[in-house]
Amino acid sequence: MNSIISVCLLSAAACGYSPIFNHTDPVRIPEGVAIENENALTCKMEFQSHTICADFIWLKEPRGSDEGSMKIYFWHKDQPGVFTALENIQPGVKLWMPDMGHGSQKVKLSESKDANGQTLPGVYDATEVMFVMGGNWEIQFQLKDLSGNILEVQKLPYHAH
Amino acid sequence: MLFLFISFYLHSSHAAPCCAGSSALPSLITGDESKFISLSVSTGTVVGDAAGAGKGLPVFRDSESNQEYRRNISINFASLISDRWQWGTSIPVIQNKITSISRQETNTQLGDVSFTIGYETIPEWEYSEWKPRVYTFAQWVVPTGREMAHSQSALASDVSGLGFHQIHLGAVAIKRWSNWDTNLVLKLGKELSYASTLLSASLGGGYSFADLWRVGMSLDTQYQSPMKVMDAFTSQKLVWNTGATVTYLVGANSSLILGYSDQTLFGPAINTTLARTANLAFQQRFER
Repeated sequence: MNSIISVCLLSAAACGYSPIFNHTDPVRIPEGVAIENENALTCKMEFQSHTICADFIWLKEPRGSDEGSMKIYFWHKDQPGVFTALENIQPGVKLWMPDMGHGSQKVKLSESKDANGQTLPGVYDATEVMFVMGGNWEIQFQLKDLSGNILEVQKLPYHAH
Repeated sequence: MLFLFISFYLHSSHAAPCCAGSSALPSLITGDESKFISLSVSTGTVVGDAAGAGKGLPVFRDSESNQEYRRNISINFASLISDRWQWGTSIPVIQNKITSISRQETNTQLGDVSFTIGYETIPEWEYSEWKPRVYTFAQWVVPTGREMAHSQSALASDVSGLGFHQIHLGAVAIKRWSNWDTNLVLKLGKELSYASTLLSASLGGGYSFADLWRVGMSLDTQYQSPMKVMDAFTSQKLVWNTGATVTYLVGANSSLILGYSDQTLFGPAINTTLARTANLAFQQRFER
């Protein structure tokens, strides 16, 4: 009898937070959302070790379990709007879920090219941006030396749906 | 005869709080047999994701989310060492099937193997109205499964373990009154890599009838304290499993158990996936 009473008390307490009665559905970004303009770039990430600013725009924001892609821009802090080739350093992007303590699949990064196939200095394409589960994530933008050692990291929060 | 039902009932397993499955309960003889072996197959579907503490309501997945299915096939074995001492092991094999909009992966991996040493602390040599039969145990979970940090697949379908050694101490108390029975399992553990604390508690009960059947219900909760990973602390984890089982005695020494476990009914759920799992197990026991 005591165990039955305990179960009832425990159930009454736990039911108040029941996920089946207290949950939300994923909030999706609208399909075909307008891509931000390069003119709207701001120094969202400042890498103080190299006085470099960086920002990104989504070419395709990850929607559900689909993969996304982004374009990342680097410029010297005192030369806004003039994208600068990174010398003796390279960028990196890592997806990290701090609550769980794990990452997601590796983001592919390549130098961006114009319509003529010419490399655009200071502009990079990040593809296969996919969050392995929904929730609160960090997009970690890294500066690394040519051996791959991380020199500085800037973290932007991102909520994956 | 009634103790057969209780021992079978206790060997049901649930998914672990995040990303990989392992048995919440140890392989332990809680009846009058000298040893048992069981084969358990469970199939679960992840239906939602619960955020860290204070970071919003759980989000239930929809058709655009990752579709994630887990199959757990485990072999459990336990044997008496002496009249009151026993040992046991559980060997799970985890198969994950995950489908995203652009990919589909299926991976099968060995899960985290566990070993248990148990002792019948309070035997029931004479029937008592109130005194339960109590077993204490120590359990070692070995990280034989692949952890998230070592995943080599885009959708993490090859994750089958939590990635750290765990040592647990616990107790199982069982009491029956005629056709009714109840059980309580408490477990306190430590994982050895990140020094986080693991707590689990399970309360269950059942009713046996017609000498061959038992129906049971249980509620268990699993908690894991924050871990320090990459110089930052993770959120704590908490998940509640509601279980229902139907047990049928196939013969004098064997049994079939059909179970269902749901992680969406009780809360709060913190920093975990939420799954619904069906379980079918066959157990063969050997008399003393």
